[in-house]
Amino acid sequence: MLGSLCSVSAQSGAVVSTDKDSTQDIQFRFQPQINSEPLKLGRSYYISELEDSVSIEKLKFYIAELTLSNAEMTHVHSSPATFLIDMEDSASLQRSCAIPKGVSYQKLSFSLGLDSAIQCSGAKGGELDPTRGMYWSWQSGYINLKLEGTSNSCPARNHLIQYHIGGFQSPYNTEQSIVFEYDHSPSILITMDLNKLLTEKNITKNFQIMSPNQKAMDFAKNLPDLFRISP
Amino acid sequence: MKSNLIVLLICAFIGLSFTSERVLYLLYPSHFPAPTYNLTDNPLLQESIDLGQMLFYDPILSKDYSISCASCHSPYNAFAHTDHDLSHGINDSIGTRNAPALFNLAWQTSFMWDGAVNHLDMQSLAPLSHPSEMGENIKDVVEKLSNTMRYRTAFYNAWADSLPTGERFLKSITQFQLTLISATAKYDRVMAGNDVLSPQEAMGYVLFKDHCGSCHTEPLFSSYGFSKNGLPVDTTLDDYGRYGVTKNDEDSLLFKIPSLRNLSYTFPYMHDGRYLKLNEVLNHYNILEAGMIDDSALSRPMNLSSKDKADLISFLMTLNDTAFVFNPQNKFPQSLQVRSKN
Repeated sequence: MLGSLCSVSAQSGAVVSTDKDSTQDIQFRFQPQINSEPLKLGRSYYISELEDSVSIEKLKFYIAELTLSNAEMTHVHSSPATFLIDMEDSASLQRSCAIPKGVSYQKLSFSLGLDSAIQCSGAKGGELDPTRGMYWSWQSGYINLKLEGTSNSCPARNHLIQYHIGGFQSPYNTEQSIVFEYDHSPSILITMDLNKLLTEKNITKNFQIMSPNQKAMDFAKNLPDLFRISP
Repeated sequence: MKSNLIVLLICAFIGLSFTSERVLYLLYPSHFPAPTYNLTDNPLLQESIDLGQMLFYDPILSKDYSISCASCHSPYNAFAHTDHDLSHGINDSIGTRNAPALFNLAWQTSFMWDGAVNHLDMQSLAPLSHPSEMGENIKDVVEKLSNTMRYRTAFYNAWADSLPTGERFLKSITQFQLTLISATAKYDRVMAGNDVLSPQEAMGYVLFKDHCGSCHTEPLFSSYGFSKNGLPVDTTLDDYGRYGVTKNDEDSLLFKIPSLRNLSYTFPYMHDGRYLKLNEVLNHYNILEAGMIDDSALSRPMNLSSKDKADLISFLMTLNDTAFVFNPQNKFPQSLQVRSKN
């Protein structure tokens, strides 16, 4: 398993206790959206920018090192700190983090995708197990984000859109850091705007990315901008 | 089972007085460097090694139950595929590269002829998933194993949990492969001071150090780096080696340098198995045209006489490790010979 039950680390030297009475749970809810409503797999959505309908069949991505931190350099990770969001598993969208009472945090940060330390150190279990369908077999490396769907606008066989975005070695390191201001609310909604993604990626021309390359890099660089947080 | 290769250490952990863990360590001769595989991430246990050996020899890993790892990596060929230039797979399909010999994997940090795989744990995913090899996927293999009683028992013995997972599956195969150590050739006895090279072998050793040793570094007889070797591209395969992984022009035609140990068992040679005889390999390096490749080690042909070639080959034969190749402990395991119904 990744991470301890709740790893609190205090880089400034102060060790913070995590007893039940002295901690508070912060809830994180990931919500990929299409047309501003929560995505449902397999449902057809009309996207006005594309003037066509799109159906998403699969959406999975890795979030790494989900962290709350403050100016005093104290930080606390979610439990586990690194995990797989999978739209087929609604429980995977709900995550939490126990923070010590009385400590305030101003920053919420995470990476979309896995770093090279994880990618170069052999077989992993739990949410990183290769049976999760997020590990390439022909070349070492995790798929950081997998999005599959269909749209009549997509000229591929069976109109299949396939984005398997990964790569951890320069010049195609697709891991992206995302940072937000955090306002102390105990529950945070993290949305992902798929309209923006599908429109910018132009599914009529750029509908298959399945290896670490420049297209994957360009795709990955657009991803942080899709995420927003709200209480 | 493999006590000749592994030292058994009983470690009693403070605070865990009711348990003592039997962790095994790799044993290797003093002229070898330390292994690069990090055993703390995957501590060796006899039960996991045994499970890995079962998996290695079991065609349950392939889509149609026809191909095992050992189909192309036979113990009698130092775990290569003698007489086959390219690897074979399900539905009589033929791959694009020669199945490499498997030994001393604990000292290697990249795998496949093009280095596409960066860790021994992850290597077996490549042949497992390749449509011209096993044509399977790890999720389905793990499910097949979960439905097989002898594997549930073997996973329980190895991992204290009868549930197969991808991680446990991969790490078990790794453990078996880590025990495949070739360190008992005549060369190794000479290094240990227990044998001497014949005059002809000694002359061959001098030639080896002059012409081969910079890439085929002692004592593993490979630096396990990548190199251009001046072979023209086989246009039926169009294999540009490491370029396919990095898409970097400088990596075009770089292939992983293989070890020269056990050459008598691992023919045919080169990444596409194009040479059946060792002599053909020597002839290739002997007549390389100047400037054919700019790599400094191979920028000039060897220009060996017939006598030199015979001397060099006689030294290379001292790298044959018959004790390793015919080690009965590495063969088809007992656990698969009597197969229960489930």
